[in-house]
Amino acid sequence: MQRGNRIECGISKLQRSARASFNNGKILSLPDPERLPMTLSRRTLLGGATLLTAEAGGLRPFAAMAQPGAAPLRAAMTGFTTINTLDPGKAAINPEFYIIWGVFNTLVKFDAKMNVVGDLAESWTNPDATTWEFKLRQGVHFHDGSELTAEDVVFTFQRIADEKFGSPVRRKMAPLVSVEAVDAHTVRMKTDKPFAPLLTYLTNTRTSTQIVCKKAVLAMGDEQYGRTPVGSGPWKLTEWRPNEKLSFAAHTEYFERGLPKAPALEVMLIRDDSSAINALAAGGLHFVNAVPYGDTERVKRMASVAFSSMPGLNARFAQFNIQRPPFDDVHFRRAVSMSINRQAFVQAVVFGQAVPSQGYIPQAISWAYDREPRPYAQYNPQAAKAELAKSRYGADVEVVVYGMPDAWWKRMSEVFVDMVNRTLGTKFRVEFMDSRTHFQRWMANDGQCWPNGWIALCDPDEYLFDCFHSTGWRNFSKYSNPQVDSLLEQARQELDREAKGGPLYMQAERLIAEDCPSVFLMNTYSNSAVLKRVTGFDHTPFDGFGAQLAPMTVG
Amino acid sequence: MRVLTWLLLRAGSAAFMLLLGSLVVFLLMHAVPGDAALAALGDQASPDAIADFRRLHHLDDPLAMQFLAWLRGALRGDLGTSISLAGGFSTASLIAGSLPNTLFIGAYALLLALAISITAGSIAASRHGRVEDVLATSGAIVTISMPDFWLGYVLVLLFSLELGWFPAYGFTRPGESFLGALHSGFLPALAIAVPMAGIFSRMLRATLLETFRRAYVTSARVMGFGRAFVFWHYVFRNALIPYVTAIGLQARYLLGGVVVVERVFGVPGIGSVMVDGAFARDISVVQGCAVVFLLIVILVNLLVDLLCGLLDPRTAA
Repeated sequence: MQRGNRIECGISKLQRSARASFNNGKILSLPDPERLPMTLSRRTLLGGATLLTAEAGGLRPFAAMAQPGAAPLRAAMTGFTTINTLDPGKAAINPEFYIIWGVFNTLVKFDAKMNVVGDLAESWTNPDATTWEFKLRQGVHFHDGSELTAEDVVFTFQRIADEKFGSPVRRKMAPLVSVEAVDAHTVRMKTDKPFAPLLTYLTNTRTSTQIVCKKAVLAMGDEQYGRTPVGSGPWKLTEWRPNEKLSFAAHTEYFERGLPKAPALEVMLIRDDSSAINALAAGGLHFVNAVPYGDTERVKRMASVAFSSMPGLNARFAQFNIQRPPFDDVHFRRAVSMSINRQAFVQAVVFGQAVPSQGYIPQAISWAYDREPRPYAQYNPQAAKAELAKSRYGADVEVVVYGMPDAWWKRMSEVFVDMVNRTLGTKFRVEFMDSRTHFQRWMANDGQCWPNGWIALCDPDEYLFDCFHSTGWRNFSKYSNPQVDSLLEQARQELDREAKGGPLYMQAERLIAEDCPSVFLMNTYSNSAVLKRVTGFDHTPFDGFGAQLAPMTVG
Repeated sequence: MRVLTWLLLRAGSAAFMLLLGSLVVFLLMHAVPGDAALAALGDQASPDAIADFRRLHHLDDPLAMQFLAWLRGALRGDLGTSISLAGGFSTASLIAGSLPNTLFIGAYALLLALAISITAGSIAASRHGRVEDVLATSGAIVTISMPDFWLGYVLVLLFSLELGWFPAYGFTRPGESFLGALHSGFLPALAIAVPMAGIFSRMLRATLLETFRRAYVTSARVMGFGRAFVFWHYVFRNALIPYVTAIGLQARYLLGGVVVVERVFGVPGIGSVMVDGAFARDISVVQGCAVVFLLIVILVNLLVDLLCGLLDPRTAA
């Protein structure tokens, strides 16, 4: 496209002039990254060329930068504008972690197939079932130049465990009873009982276990650290405009050689996802992390854009209040579950961009994903009516489903209710309320049925123990099955996860599917769009965002 | 002396309005379900995490104490700190970062609307009943009926995606580059201006036509003044008064009513801050924005009163 040509012209022109000045033995002075233009239009393109040299924090001869594609990367985070902290220990919501993943590192991480591999840890062993020993990589530097050692790791976990600090993951990390530095590059962790999900909770996902810089935290205090974080990750925060955008420079001492590829990064916080698609089409953005389901056809037709889609890490369902009529009756719950034609449901709600599901664990966690058909989670109108006949309640019972009014969530509630009513002849109706009110009511078990979902949970333990164990904190409706409890407790202690843990989770989920405390509906796709002239994007089921942007180059 | 009393009265009632307004907003924010802890913690809001958050941010203190703490700060010029919209940033900094953008886009839109409506309204009135009039009046109806966000998307499709003249998203602040702001702010300003221009030009046309029929206009024509001279000296000036009133009324809408357009074009305005703040249940941010809105409305009203007094010869004395 014409626009692209213009960009290349601008770049090569600048490179010529830059080489000329370098040949004269000059070192270019660096522009203030705060002045990076926000929009990419013909006018700002000329200014945009100066971004090639954007490298906050120090001077650098241009020769190192004057490589093809050394242009700043501009990415959009859509649907959210709220970021309250960039302190991993304090962070809770997705947009905060999207940024944290690029600013910090963790001991281990997931590869594209969701196998755990080393990040800051080179290797790890289990001397016994409750001890974990991590060997740290040497020569890792924080953004302030200091070296990352075992002391920073210990500090990170002590901070999370401190009640006064108030980390949202304090309870989740409670099984971890001690973290100590054996030497400068060895860390030993102890859990009270064998705790298999530990490795997942140390990955660079929504874990809060990203390693913070002890020196920087102590120097600036917790509050300030959340606004000017010092991590070891590929991106170094240079400016944060609340509710608008964040700017980053490449961390030149990043331990993975050659990363990040782009010299600078801007992340726009865009509330309206269709606007982000427009900006992508106009060339003002290089990467959009979420494409609304209604826009995918349009994005696929765009010549300059590569669209990418795969089942994500999520579970979408309709949760029952099993304490109140009519959902306190297992036959009524089964009748509802079997009255949903999930294939048609997926078509109607997200235009086919989901996998119909019969459990919570998504297929991306392949070792715990059960492919065997579960009768009560299959569409079967005859059996559904038979279950209804066995139930204490008739089709005339009054049911109000609490729905969320945003985007496809609205369709999700409507289609769900419509399918149930058509199959069973019931009189379900939907009442909409904003998503926070909805969540609050669901947490308080105030209502009858809530179509909702969990996203970005990475471990089967989070999907099943948290949601269905009688003590799980996400088990708002107090589902309790002693057999399920015991299987989940066993799975939690089984360190050989793939061979032995997986079958335990599958068995537990099968029992849950028979009790139907929730109607399993679908596992939606994660959709991304990136300009074709940008290389290095690797789509993963867990959204890597900040980390995913490191290998990307604007061509 | 009378002026002083009047000023004191105005100031006193303004202060009372501010206090009352902030109290109402405070109570409303507490009345809606959901709280800042849920917004900040999202689906990680385990009961423990919620309890910790509420304790750290004093959300469990009695309401009266919370309001008094806010009021004490506000009186010293401290509007508090965001906890669930942009945690750690002061409300004042959020307002300072967004209000100028809103004022700029508002003024820009108002100027565009004035330019469009004066041209269209005058042509329609002076070519009453002819093709130009029909075009202008039906154009006005169409523009008034268009939702502004829809118009925003159409403008993006046409001027950004097809023609590539303007950026599709993003706004350069006037403080960084005034020309950049004029360029990147053009489409959002136009999206706001077009429906407004529809209202203004209909208004102007109607008052112009009414003034045309006045006896003094006829006598001016009879005395032999030219058509153009009569239009500018007898008709247009007199027709401006209701037109200016209409502009005053619309100006208030420009403060907060354009959030949707701000969203479509990525203009970081105060309306978006307040709406996002309300969704995040960030009380200090919503309170701060509300106080700023109230102050501006009070000031605009004062200004209008003063202007009216000056313009109207009956009250000028």
